[in-house]
Formats: sequence, C-alpha cells, structure tokens
Amino acid sequence: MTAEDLLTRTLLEVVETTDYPTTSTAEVLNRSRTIRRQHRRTTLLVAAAAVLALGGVSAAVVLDRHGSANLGPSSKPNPAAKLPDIPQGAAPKVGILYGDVYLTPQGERITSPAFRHAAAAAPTTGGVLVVSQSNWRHPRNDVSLVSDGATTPLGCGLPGFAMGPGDPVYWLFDDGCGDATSTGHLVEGTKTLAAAQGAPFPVATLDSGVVVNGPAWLPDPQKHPGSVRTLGRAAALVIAPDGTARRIPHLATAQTATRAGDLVAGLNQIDTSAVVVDASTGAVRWRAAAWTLSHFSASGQYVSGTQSVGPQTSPGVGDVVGIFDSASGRLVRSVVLPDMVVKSQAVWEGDDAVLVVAQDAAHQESILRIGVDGSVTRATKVLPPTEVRQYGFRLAATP
Amino acid sequence: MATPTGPGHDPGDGQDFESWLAARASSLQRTAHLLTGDVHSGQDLLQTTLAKLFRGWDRIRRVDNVDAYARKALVNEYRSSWRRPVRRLEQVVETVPDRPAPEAPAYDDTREAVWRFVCSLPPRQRTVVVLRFYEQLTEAEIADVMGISLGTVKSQSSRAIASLRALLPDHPEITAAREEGGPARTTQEEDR
Repeated sequence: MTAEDLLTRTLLEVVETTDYPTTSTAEVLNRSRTIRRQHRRTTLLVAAAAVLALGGVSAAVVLDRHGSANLGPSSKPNPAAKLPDIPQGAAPKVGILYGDVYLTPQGERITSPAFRHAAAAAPTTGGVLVVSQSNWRHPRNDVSLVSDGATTPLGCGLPGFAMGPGDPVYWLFDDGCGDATSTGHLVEGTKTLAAAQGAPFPVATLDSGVVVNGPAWLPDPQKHPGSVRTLGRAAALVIAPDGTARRIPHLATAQTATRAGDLVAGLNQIDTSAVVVDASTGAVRWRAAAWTLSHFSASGQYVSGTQSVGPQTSPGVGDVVGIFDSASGRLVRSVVLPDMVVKSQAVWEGDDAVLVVAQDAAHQESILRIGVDGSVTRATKVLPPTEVRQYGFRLAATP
Repeated sequence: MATPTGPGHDPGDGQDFESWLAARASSLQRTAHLLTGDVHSGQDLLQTTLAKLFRGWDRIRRVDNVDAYARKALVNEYRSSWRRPVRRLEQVVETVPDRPAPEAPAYDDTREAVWRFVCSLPPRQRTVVVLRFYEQLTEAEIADVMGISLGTVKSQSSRAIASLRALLPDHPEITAAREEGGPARTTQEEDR
C-alpha cells in the first residue's frame, strides 16, 4: 500500500463511519434568507453612501415579502406575516395561561392572582398546581396549589413539571431556594418519590421512574447512611421509585420522553446537538442539528422542534416549527413563520398539531396551531403589545 | 406535494432544487466534513454553499454538470471562509473550555494518525488532498476547481505525501509496498 492509498482509505473510512445530521430544505431556505438579509444591509449602506455622494439620487430596494417558497416537506405557502391575518381556528386543547386566567384543556376558566406570573400550571389532586416565574425582584419559583379560589403555598421549587399519566411531578426544596447543595424531594401530587440533593429538574415520567436533569447528589445505599453519590453537573438521569438513579448515557440534558418510555429527546453530551436516544441504552437513534426538540406527540409517532433564526430584521425571515418522525428522524413537516418569533416550545395536541406562542413584528402575540398537514391557524385571539407586556400567553404545561 | 424549484419557481428545464438536494446533499456533506475537519463546521459550510446555490438555482440547474458546479462552489466557499478576516478574531480566554471528544470513531492508531495529519494540513493543502484522494479528481480538475495552477496542485499534493511519509516512517503497510515495488512515487513523478 502506498501513502496515497492510505490517505484514500482513511478518508473513506472517516466519512463512512460518521453519523451525519440531515440537511433540510427549510434550513437551506433560512440560511439563504440570512445571506440575502446581509447583502441587503450592505446594499443599503452602499446605496446610502451613493446618495450622499451624488447629492440626492435615491436608491430603492425592493423587498420581496412573500416571494420565497416554504421549502421543505411543507408544500403549503408561508402563513401570513401578521398574526391578525392568520385565520382563527378552534380553542387550544392544552392548558394555557393568560393574565390571571388558567384555561384548562377542557376549556374551564379558573382565575387566581397566582396565575399572573406562573411559569407552569397543571391539574393535580385537589386543585391546580402552579409554579411561579422567577425574576430579579423575586428570584424564587414558588410552588402553590390553587383550589376553590384559595392559594396554598407548598414551597420553593423549579419552574416546571414533568407530566405523565398521573399527577405532575415537581421538585420541592426542603428549605431555602436556589442553592445547588440544598436537599429536597421529588413529589408526585402529594406523594414524595425520592429525596435528593442538588436541583434535579423533572422533565418526563417513565414506567421506570422520573427523567430529571442534574445536578443531583443522591443517597448512596451502598455506603453508610448520609453518604451521597455524585451524578454530575450536567446529566440526564432516571430516578426510580425506590430512589435509585441511573444515568441516560450520552445525554447532557433530557428534554422530553415518549409516554411509552422508549425514546428520550435531549442534547447530546459531546456536541450538545439535539438527539433522540433509546431510553434504556442511550444509543443515539438520530440527530437534528440546528433544531431544538420540544415534545413527543401523544402516541409518540412524532416529535416537535423549533428553529430560531435570531433577531429578525428583514421581511420574510422567521422562526421555523418542525415535526419529525420519531422513529426515523425524517422531517415530516417544517413551517417557516415569516417575521415571527416563536416564544415557547412546540406542545402537542394529540398527534395532529402543535401549539406555539408566536409574536409578530408588531409585537402582537397569539398561540398558533401548526398541523402535521402544514396548516397554520390561530388558537387564540391576538394580544396587542400593551397586553403582551403585562401578561402574555403561556402554554401551561407540556403533555 | 408541490416541489419548490428555487426562488423564481420557474418550471422550465432542469431538475428541481429539492430533489437535487435529496440526492446530493450527503455527498457534499462528506466532502465538507473532510475539508473542515469536523462535522459541524462542515454542516455550516454546506448550508452556506447550498443557500447560495438555491439563490441562483434557476441559472445553475441549466449548467452541464450541476454536481461539479456545486463541488466547486463548496470549495470556493471553504476558501472564502479561511481567508475571511473574522477567522482571526479568536478570543484569548483564561480557562480553556471543555473540548468535545474526538468525532472520529475508534480507528486503529494508523488511521487516527492519518486523519489527524489531514486535519493539521494548511487549508489549501488539505483541499488538494481531499479532492485528490477522496474525490479522486485529476490534478487538472483540481486546478480548475480551486482556480490555481497545475504546478501548485502538484507541489501541494507532493508536500502532503512527503509529510505523511515522514510522519509514518515505519508504517508496515507502506514499508511493505516500498520493499515490493521500491519507493512509492510522488504525484509529481507520476505525471512526468
């Protein structure tokens, strides 16, 4: 073998043994728009300079607002760039928060001041479980139970729940809040599942336990009482009902899991790309580079994701909502929302559609429903910017 | 399902962008990976190239060899990226951030050494190596794709081979080849 043969063989082996991310046409379209936006900026600067130099010769730049196809598996035209122009559809079939109101998945309207700054809310035994958003004025996530108009504080926790077939699972610090070395408990409804140190954030429930994101220091039954086992700063774990924990290999953080518990989506430990892994072995099933995966559909057939294109300063550029086939990673649908920012995860209504909170260039806000068939409708009214600043829509939980 | 053809949606002759992408993206992705040395930089390079191809697709799809055009665009984009001043704006940090594990799977020692060697080559030399020994282009084709002279292609290729031999002086397979057929010829010698 010559050195040339060795080079050829090595290069072939490198590419043949590498797992490549898929390249969707939606990604290409967005990159194309970004490049065009940069070119326009340069053109405008040059034109402005020319105007100054020539003393009044104006330059016009024709901006093609709807001139681009919605590439990718979606064959439908892009939805309108203004939220009021998008047709109104049915009300959301998942819980939403707006101002002091929690609208249950069944359409029941519950009002409480606790909902005004809520990060998440979900029905539980004895009422509605609420966890507050934190901010610089109130750097705590208060967990409360709202029942018959009364709010009962339960303690301090983390800003979210793990949703499963039973009550939502959440974290409660024993005392204090926000200290990574604090002790606390994972609680399902009113039942304590496991004690731990750290701040394990529950994201999903499986038959075998609760999927949490570290850091976590759990009791080590192999050693003397009081000893703990460090499970790392960035780790996705499954905490079993008996309090033991196992790490999901290859995942830095978990995002969601199928209800059947066979697949977990999250971020890969090595390169922090979005991946879907086998829940038991951690084996990577597929990757979705440049996407943020949100949730699996009710049956687990699909997984939703979003793509942010950052600050949108050029007409026609917008965030993207994608729907992948869970088993293969094939991008079933991608919909570009022109001139819009997606402000939430993409939450499923069964297996047919996802909901996202979207804001348009006029800072109006609404919840959009994106169907697996590519249809886009509004699930709520459009909030004007003044109300968005005060309240805003929030998807209450992540079924 | 309607298939988009490009920005102008001209349904004229030539293939549509999406079907071309489906057929050729993985091939270009491999070349981009080899050029940049890692999967994600390669993906970035590929997407930028594809975006530019998409913008000119109405014209590009009518050229004789779209694949060759796309490969040339990829190489040109790579060349632009290594020449771009922003590449030199790396920030000096006090603490070295965590490095990801090597992306290459567990090759035997020789393969890993050769892959590291390829990644360590200067961009232009690496481009020549990838086009010559992976894409199997002739030196004349490489000169055309890269827009450089035939002599430069030969010298770059020759230097890379000489460096590899120096890196692996006792490599058993190369040694065996030398014993059987004498020293392996350089690219320059082949063309004489």
